[in-house]
Amino acid sequence: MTESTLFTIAFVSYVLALVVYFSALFARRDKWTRGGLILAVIGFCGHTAAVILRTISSGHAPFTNMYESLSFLSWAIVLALIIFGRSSRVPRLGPYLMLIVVGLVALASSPLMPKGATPLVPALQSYWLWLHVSVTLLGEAFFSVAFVASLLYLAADSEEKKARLDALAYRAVAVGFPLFTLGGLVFGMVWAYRAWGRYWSWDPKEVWSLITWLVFALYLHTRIVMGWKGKRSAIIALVGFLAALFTYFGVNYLLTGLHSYA
Amino acid sequence: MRSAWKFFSSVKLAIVLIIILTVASIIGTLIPQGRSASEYAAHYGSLSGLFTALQLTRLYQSVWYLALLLLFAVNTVVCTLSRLGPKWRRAFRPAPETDAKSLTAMRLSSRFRLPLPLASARDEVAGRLTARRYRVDESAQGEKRVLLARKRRLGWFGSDIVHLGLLVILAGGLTSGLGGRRAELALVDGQTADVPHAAFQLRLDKFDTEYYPQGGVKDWKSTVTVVEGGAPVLTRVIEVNEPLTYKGVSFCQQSYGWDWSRAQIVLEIRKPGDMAAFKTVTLRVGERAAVDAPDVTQVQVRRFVPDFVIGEGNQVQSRSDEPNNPAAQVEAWKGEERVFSGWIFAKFPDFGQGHGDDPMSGARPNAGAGAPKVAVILKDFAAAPYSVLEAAKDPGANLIWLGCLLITAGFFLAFYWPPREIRVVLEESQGRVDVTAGGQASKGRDAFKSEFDSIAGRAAPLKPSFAEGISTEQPSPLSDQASAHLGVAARLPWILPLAAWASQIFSMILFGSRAPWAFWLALMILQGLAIIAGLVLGLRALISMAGRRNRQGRRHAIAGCLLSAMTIAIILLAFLLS
Repeated sequence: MTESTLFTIAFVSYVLALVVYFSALFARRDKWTRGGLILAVIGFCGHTAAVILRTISSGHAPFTNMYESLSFLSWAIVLALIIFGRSSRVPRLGPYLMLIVVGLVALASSPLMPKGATPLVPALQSYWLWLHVSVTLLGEAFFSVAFVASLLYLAADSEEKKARLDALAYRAVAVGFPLFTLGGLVFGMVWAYRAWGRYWSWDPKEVWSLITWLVFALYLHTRIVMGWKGKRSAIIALVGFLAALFTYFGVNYLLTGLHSYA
Repeated sequence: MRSAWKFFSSVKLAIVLIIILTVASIIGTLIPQGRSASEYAAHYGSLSGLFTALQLTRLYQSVWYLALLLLFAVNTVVCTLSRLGPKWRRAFRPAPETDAKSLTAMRLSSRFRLPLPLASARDEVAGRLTARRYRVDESAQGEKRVLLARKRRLGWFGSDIVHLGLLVILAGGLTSGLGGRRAELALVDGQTADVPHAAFQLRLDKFDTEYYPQGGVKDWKSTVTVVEGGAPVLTRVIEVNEPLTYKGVSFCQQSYGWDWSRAQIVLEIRKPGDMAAFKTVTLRVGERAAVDAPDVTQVQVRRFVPDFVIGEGNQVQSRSDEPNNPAAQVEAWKGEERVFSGWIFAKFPDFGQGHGDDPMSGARPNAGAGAPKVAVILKDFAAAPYSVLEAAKDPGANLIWLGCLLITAGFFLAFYWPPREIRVVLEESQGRVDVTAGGQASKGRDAFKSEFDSIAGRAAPLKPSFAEGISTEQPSPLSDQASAHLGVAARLPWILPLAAWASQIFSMILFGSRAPWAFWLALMILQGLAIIAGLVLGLRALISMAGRRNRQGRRHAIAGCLLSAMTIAIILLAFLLS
């Protein structure tokens, strides 16, 4: 099977998972979400195989253009869903997170994204590409879990649900924030020092990842030291995810800088 | 002084500063940084004066941004120090809790009786705690024995270590800003240049551009030799992502270009309308060359630009260093008479000729006469390629790596190393011992509850009849012995491959390509052993656990198998790719 076949299989499984998840939600059958999760896992297996095939055929890390990095980001979000979906006891996490995944995969497979594997430009030929991008995108995937949990928190009605969602958002940030710091900032600085001779250049992408970092630092400080839980915490987590999203998408299209290739 | 301390010890200040820094940083990404004054004037009009006055055009180097960072650093120091004292006392000089009643008010608590003498009861409880790797401090208060058991005490300091790392990074940035020196060295093959701020020279032996078979640049490589005191010291190839570091100066392949100011130009001189008769002249920019043609005796290339564009004030400029629109300013004479003057274009051979008047210089080719007597064509051009290396002396870089290490370690401690504390009061009454235990943990409360229960909960519940039946010889049938003693051994399956990953990343950060191959070989062998051992231990644990109820143990084993297998898969993939 080729990469695009496997990618299509993954896409179809994710769409089916989305349908099952939402029918579970609307029919109020929490047990059906299990079916959604199983379909998501099937899609995840196909997606993993597609990413591996892509790596073998292109000969470089599977996140060097927008199509590849979108595909990897959605893969990482499904991974985060599989990790948190079972233990969090939040039946609504699956449907809404899957909505994001399907959106990203649809964006990746849209004709706007060139899919050809182009040879790597010299600046990207480094093992730091693997570490920097994969760990950063994993961190952002966990931010997306915090984002969905926070949105659900703002919409939730019962106190019990709210407590669970608040705890879930915090747990997702507790995984995502260290990963983002390590991958985005630490590995990014190490790579920049090797490639450009300077670890920090105040490039817009760098500044925006610093902004994301500051917002989540704010989240942790207001929460742990000042005891802001619940609504205000949820809003900060939302802002943090939007900042991460802007770092990932917006900087490329709206601002110019050193990170122009990815 | 006191009020300043109070001001800086407030977390609210930290939050305000974080918000201000965030907003300021956003502004800095919206206004392009470090451009020329005229660009700002063209783009922002009257606002540009305001921008310059507020230093928004060099925002991240501006006095006020640096002042904000300084305030933030002071705030971090004071905040951390003012909270460190109580934490330190709690971790290392705790006050024993003697009142049994206050223990029952803790998050987890239990009371039970042991039908044993006080000394044996103490041994029993302390034994259970040390089996779970608690550090037990004991104090006697009359008839009472008070135990304070704690583990993972470093977890209390996770946030402080992150703060310390942040300060080290800020210090590193300051050191780089004050003591850092960087310069660009543009060298053509064979050229030697003094390295600024260093007592040695660098010679470029050879500059190569490698291409992919399907087109596109694969790599730029500069073979350089360090020359010290007139003698070559070492020769290395610098490529993109593979810098050379010598005596604290690092050299990165930064860019490349062509020495257009000394370009070699090939001109063709024709008579208009007569395609057959032409002369070819090869000359350098600035040179005047003699031509053996009936209408032209001398020709000169005054200027050459690789990417012709008319910029501000009708000035000829080069838009880039790439030969996108090469053009030469040429003059030709016949004796003392100037027969041609103007810009000619390699890609538009007719342009300079067809338009008789030259918009740039105002001069006309063949001024005065009707039709031009001479046509000059820019036939070819070539320039020596040069390599641009950035020589950087950055004394702050090592501080940055130290800070990154501290931040990473601090995050791990803060999020995944939560301290646990169990306090126990043993009181003898009527030949038996009343045990009161209380426990608290800042995070991971579910896991802590099951641990607490296995030490002080389920094993000996309050019901006297049940508790009295338990003797020290027979472990309680209810306590899950297998999961109660999960030591390091049970965690080895994932600790080993994780250690392999960590050692790889640390070696890459610390040594890069500097370490000898023997080091990498030794490291690889050790890592291979660790990964295989992780897989084998994990599988063995899974097999030995088959059919038994041990959720915790199974989780560790599965995590180990998955991590090891994934690592092996990635290594195989890497081999396949290379």
